[in-house]
Amino acid sequence: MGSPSPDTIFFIGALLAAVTRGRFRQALLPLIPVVGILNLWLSFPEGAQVTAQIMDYTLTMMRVDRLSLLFGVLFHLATFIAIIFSLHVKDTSQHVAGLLCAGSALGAIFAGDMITLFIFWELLTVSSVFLILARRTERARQSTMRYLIIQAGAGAILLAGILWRAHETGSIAFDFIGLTGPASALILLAFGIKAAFPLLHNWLTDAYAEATPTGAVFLSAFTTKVAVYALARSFPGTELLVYVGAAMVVFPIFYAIIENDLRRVLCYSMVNQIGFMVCGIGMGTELAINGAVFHAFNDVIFKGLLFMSMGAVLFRTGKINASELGGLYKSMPFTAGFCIVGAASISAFPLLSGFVSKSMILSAALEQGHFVVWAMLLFASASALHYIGIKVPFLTFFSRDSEIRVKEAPSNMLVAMAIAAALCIFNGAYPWALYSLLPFPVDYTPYTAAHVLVQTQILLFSALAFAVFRLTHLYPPQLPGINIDAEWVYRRLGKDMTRTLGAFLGRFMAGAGAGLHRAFWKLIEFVSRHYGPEGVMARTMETGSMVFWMVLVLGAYLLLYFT
Amino acid sequence: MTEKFTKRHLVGNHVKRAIYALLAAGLASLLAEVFIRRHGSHPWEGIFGFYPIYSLAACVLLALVATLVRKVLMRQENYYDG
Repeated sequence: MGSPSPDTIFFIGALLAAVTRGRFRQALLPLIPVVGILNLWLSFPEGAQVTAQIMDYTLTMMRVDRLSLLFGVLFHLATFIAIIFSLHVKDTSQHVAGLLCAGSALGAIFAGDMITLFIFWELLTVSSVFLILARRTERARQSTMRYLIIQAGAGAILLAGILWRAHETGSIAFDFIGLTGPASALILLAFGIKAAFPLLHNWLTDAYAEATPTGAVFLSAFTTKVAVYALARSFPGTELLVYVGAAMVVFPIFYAIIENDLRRVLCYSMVNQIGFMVCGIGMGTELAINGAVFHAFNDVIFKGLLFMSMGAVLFRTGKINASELGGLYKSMPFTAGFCIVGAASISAFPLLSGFVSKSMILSAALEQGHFVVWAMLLFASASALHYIGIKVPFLTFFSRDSEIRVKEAPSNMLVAMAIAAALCIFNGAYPWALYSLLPFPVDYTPYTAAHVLVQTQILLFSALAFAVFRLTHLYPPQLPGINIDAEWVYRRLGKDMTRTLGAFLGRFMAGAGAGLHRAFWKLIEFVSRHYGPEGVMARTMETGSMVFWMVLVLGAYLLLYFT
Repeated sequence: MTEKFTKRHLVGNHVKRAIYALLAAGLASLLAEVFIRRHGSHPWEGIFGFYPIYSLAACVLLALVATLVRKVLMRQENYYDG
């Protein structure tokens, strides 16, 4: 097959972005994903494969099936939106990094074997780093280092798992693996780190919140979704994932509601939404997998939309803490409107995208008899309106007047947000278009009277609770500050331990050093006392005394010999 | 002026009206349950008003637990910088 692979187009695009400037680049960049999707559509029908022989291994560079095709379409779409959103940016490194990210993510999802996956996985890590680093602050630099260490660690674990598995089974296929032994556990752990499993999730809240306003949009689209894809590919039906997913759904809610940095609120919400997907993948039924994949698609769009709206606010005001924002709807009415569409989507308002995909996973949980998990997911659905649906738009654009007066977001940002908002509405009001792309045939009717009513009730009563809480001050107020999370282990405990150990070692070494120093000088002194100019060994002796000593030794010898 | 504006904004008549509207809509949706039958696969789903009650309970739990969580976990903004 002569056509370039989807990732190649983005890598060439990155090269072009590096050498072009100004208006020409602005015209060129949006064309790259358009060319990409046309190439994907025309050259790679379902079932297409591209293989290459490297040493003893046959690498499957491209494997096109329903699952990879859906993510392929999604990533092209997300790149297009993110590129439009960042058109005003003059910093070349960000454009290049964004396109490299997109190319690596596409390479990873179309990979048919684990070695190809690993290569693109690492490329994704390296290229995404620059989207955080480009913020050019000390905080961002430190955050980047933590991100890099964790992601590189995940890469190393993945490689270990791949090699171990290849040694055990002789297979490097990127297909169903299942949790069967230590090798597969390592692979699952690596996927889990990238999918932000509980306790392994803080790289996400750390890095995305420190990335540039436009970089976060790229990051939010690719990194975790590649992991979700990998889980759906290799570990569907792994029961452990149901419980991991349920935990992921619930715990971030409490963090999101008290978090002050609004982009970090979105990060916690992202962990929560990935929890829904992980849950669905763990259940493994056709409905659950369809729901998980559909939800991944929607999440990229509505979370992208929310990251864009908050990015626009950060870009215009330079602030992102809820305690410093408010009343911006007068300055940024369009951004406010798009933000509300994204927030309503994620809260699963009927006719918006979250409504369809979230309920598919909830229904699958009920069908499989996971009642406790279902109750947990339902709790998350009911509180979604609080921690994000109302919180993010309300505290930014309404609530109190922060007296910040800025211009509306640049037009390219507005266009990008409008596209994402339109997709949220389209996928919610007409889910059948995407149904035809899902991995399994869909037998699910989202719009029954009962279902719409149930969701309306949940939303209405949740909104009512919010209103009452606000008036009675029961709702946790927005306070500046940070909340301790699992990252405390390496950001505080690790640091404190290293410091204490360092101080101890320092003292020990200083003590030991001084001891050694003293011992050395004692030795020198000893040598110098005995062998120095005044020393006993340096005395010049007369010949006579030598004869005297020899006679003495000989005499002693004779005496000993004859007795 | 701003103070006045904010105060009026928070508990003004239109906010009250909005809350009454929400309340009315909520009650209407509860009432609609009489006419729209649910085919739940879980016994809880059969309970009248299950979803609104669950939703309210979830929100109360969320606010209370979050307040508690904040007491335990909240630190100064420069906590990690030291």
